[in-house]
Amino acid sequence: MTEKAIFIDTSKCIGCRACQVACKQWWGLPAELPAENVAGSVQFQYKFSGSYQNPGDLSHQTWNLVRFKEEAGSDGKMKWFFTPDRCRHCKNPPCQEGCPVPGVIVKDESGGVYYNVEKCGDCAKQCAEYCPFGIPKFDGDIRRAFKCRFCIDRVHEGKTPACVKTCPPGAIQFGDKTEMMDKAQARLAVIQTDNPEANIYPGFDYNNFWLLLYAPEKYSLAQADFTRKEKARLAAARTSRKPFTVAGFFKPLTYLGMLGGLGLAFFRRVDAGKNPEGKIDRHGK
Amino acid sequence: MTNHWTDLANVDYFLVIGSNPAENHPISFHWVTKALENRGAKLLVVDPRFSRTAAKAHFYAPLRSGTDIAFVNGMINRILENDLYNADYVKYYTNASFKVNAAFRAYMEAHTPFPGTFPGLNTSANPATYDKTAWGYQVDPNTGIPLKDDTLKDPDCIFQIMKQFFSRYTPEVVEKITGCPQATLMQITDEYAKSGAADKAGTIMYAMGATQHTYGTQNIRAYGILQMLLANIGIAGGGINAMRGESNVQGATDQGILYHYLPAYVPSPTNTQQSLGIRAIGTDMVSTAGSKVVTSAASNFSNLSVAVNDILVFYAGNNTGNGIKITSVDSANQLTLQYAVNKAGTGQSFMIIRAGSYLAANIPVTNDPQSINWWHNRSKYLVSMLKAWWPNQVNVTAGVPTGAETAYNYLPKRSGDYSYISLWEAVHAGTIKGLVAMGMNPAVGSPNSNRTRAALDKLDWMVIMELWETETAQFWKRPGVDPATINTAVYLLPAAAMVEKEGSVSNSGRWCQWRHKAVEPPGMAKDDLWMLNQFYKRIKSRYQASGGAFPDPILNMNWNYEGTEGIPEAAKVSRELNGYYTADNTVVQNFTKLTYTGSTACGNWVFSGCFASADKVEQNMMDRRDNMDTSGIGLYSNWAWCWPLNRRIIYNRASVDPKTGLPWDPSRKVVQWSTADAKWLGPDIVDGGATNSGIVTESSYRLPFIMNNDGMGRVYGSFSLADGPFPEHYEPMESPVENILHPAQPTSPCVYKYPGDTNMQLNVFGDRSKYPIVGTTYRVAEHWQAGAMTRNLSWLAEVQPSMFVEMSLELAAEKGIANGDQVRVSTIRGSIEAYALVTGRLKPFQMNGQTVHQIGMPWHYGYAGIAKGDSANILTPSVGDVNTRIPEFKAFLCNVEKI
Repeated sequence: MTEKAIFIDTSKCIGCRACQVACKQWWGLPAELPAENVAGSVQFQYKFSGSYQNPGDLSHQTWNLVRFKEEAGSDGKMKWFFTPDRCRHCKNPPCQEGCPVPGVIVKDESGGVYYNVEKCGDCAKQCAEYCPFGIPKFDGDIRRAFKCRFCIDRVHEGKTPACVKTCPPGAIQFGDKTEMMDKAQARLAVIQTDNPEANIYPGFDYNNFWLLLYAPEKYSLAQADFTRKEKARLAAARTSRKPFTVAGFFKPLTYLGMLGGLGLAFFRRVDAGKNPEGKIDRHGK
Repeated sequence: MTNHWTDLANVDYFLVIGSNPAENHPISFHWVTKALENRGAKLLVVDPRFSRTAAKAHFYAPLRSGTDIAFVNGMINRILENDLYNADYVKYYTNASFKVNAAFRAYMEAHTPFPGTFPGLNTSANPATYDKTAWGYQVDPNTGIPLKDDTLKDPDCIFQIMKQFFSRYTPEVVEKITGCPQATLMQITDEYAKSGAADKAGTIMYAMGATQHTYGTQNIRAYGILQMLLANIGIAGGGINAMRGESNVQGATDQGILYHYLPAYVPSPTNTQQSLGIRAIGTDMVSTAGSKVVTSAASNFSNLSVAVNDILVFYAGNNTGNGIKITSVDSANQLTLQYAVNKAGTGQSFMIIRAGSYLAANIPVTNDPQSINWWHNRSKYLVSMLKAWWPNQVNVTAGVPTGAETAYNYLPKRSGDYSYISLWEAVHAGTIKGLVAMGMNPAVGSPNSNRTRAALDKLDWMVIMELWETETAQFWKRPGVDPATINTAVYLLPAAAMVEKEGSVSNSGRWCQWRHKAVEPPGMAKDDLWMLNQFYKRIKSRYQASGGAFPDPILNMNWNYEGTEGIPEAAKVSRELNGYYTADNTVVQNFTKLTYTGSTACGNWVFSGCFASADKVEQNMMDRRDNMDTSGIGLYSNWAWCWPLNRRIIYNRASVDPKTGLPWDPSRKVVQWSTADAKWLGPDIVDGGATNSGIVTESSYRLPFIMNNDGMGRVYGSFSLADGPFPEHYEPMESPVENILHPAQPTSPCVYKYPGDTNMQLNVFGDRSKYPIVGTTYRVAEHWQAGAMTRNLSWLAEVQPSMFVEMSLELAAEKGIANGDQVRVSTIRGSIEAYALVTGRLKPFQMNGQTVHQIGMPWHYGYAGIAKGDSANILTPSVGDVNTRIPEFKAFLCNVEKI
């Protein structure tokens, strides 16, 4: 397989969030609907995020999130930035460096980085802490990390990732990395005439890159922070806590939880993670 | 849509007004984005709120909700003042050169400044109505053809009257009304007016933001006038494009779901039209061009019973389309006509229509030989429809389908107001006791929905076909209601979802696409056709068993949709819609084969052709899936089927220069007239007949706007509209400001006022001192209509989980509200609670020295489903558009406070 890439052209993104829902649908990820705890309330049933950005952040159940940010420009004109945020699929993934268990984090020949969930175990969440963008999210109940999987199963079947397939304006594109780079560069040249700040983010060293019209902060996209890895190492050393223990944290209560409602979600995701071409429950909610 | 979705890729200038396609029609952006990327198209967005569409715009103009007419009239004025219109198009293809009755100009000159009412208003009726005599054209007393001045200089010609009328809408005035800075208006106008060039195309994309006002129809008139002036109708990348709100609402409209239409836009009869009115039909009428007296040599003309005021309509021959009133009949059956017959000739078939009949009221007439006047065919469509429904009743005697009168008598005759709000008032009044709701959630979707919910309480029974137990399905146990007090019998029939049933789905671009069943419906759920078939069979058997009032229409109805094992098949319905020859039961090729003699049956003339690849050759054309485009303009003519006649762009005769018959823009050829071939060439199917010339100097030249009896695009008119020949700015029924154009006539004079009620919910309008804030409602990308299909899905509940109200930073500061606070929004009708979403995307309007705040909210929520919330429609008023009665959802007065 030739190396692939996802190219997100934000000049075309309309913030419809079809990609966000398609991701949940394909991977059978549950919806996050945090309760507001207003007794008997119909209208204030759920917590309010304060914007169109729902849920508020990426999580172990939300691997692709459209971020919304608005700003009144210096010319008085309104701007509303939106773009999907997810794993950048690094060339040399720092998360892989951070993972103590071999074979959990795989840099696939397609360029995608995916986590083998059934091998992933109870640890010190170093993948999340090593990530320069803070992308992997930890499921506290089953103590495993999750993030965008590059729709590795689809890609190996010659299909495009679910988000790409669904994007109405064609803002999310997928193909051979060289072709995507060419497209991005050509598009950048056009866009730059009206938008001098336009840039490719985070760069072509990644298998998921963006064409942004403005600086990444405008879109609430994190700039790469490679010091996170060092900080995490130092913090681990300071507390002299072992970076990982495998079985020690599997307490009886956790097993009980797995047998209950949470367990269903767990097994579905474990199943999905078994191998790139593995079967997937597409009907989960 | 005059055009279609894929055609959006051909656009140079998008004017998005009264819509929010990035959020509400996201797939449209598949094509919009292509135009932006490949053509360098410009996106102009006019919206009270900075939407996700506005975020992609090159130019954005804010305007106060309900002031679209002022804005667009301001554009029209600037275009007229600065000669930015397309002069050729205006001269050849619009009625700008027509002269209006002198009384109209006299009235306008005597009433300066314009008082907000046109000549002929009768205010004693409710609603007030216009006598439109003065609005009419001046016609030649001998020919009956409208008088024109091609120089456009005559003071009575429409162009001059319109210049005068629109001149009031200066940028200063528009700013004072709309709150849009005049520089922005001028910038948007100048940019959009570039689409008036022959080689440029501009489209208007609109939706409910335009229509849901008391003057919603006139909003669309204003858009139409703008497009006419800029030569944007009939061309690829142009058009006036209504983006429908539901996937098959176009199909529902085509099939006659509106209360004033039978299927296919054939008006439903009223109680003053007790006869169909076919007096006589025949051929070989001898006429003399220029003569007002016609005689017949044919034997079938000799036994005519003809009376004064009957109408003579020609259906074939030299005078096709003409319809002329008979003013006297002598003993030799020699007819004297109101106007002269234009052309002599034999072989002309004709029909004589009884005065005062249905057909006399519904067949538009013309005496202009260049006007195709397509609706003169209405008699064919109605008779063929009656033949499809009651084949044994529509018999033919002496060449006249006499039995058609019997079948016509089966049709209900409209005697009252059956518009949406009025139906609910009839439920309140106890006139309507039962309700069948198919995929309809009025407890959330109705204006003033507390009142609608109270009306549901009064029903004896309700049958609801639904995918989920919606708010309407569970109205009897809604919050605050004791189910023991509700006596309505409620039947919830589980319905199949879209992928669980077969049939055609018509999109906004009139494409009828066949959809196959992907999976079986779950549990006991059944598709709509199955349920309707059961309805019919069970009702019929009840009539058969026990009689009843007027059983004939039910007992005699043609109902043959069942296939094997008694399962009804959608294809059998489609075949009937396509139409067939009654002699041998083979399919007709399309509606040009339909007759008024009973020899054809057709359930829906606009669908005729959907089930035939050639005459008498059956094929489900809607099931075609060839996605190769050979047109060069993305017509995809072999993908599915499009009404009418698989024509993808309607009014396409106007896409050519009438001096040459060649496309205005050769790079975007839709059709062209070929003198060598003496016919029109593609890629599209030409409007109005392939052999009528497209060159204005040729004798067989025909005018392009074939559905208008004058053949022209109307920059003035529409005589069918109740509230004026030009769009005039009126305030919504609830407005925060005076109408600065005519303070004595702030709102439309023709609004129907419901009688007041004791609950102060009907015909009451909020006072701006108590409710100073403009409220509006809209949809978001994440939810669908009244929410049943999305608020019941956890993934869609997740992306917009709660009801919210969007407001500006300025208003929030004034009211002490922070982002995320719980707030109460109230109108004179009711109040709701919601989260506050404080955003810079809404801004207060500065108008005429006054600050006006506006808030906006989605109307999707209700008390059922996963994502629940208060319904915005508790706030909206029970008042409808003058012409269509669509409720005024989009502009009302409210107040907001922190809870």
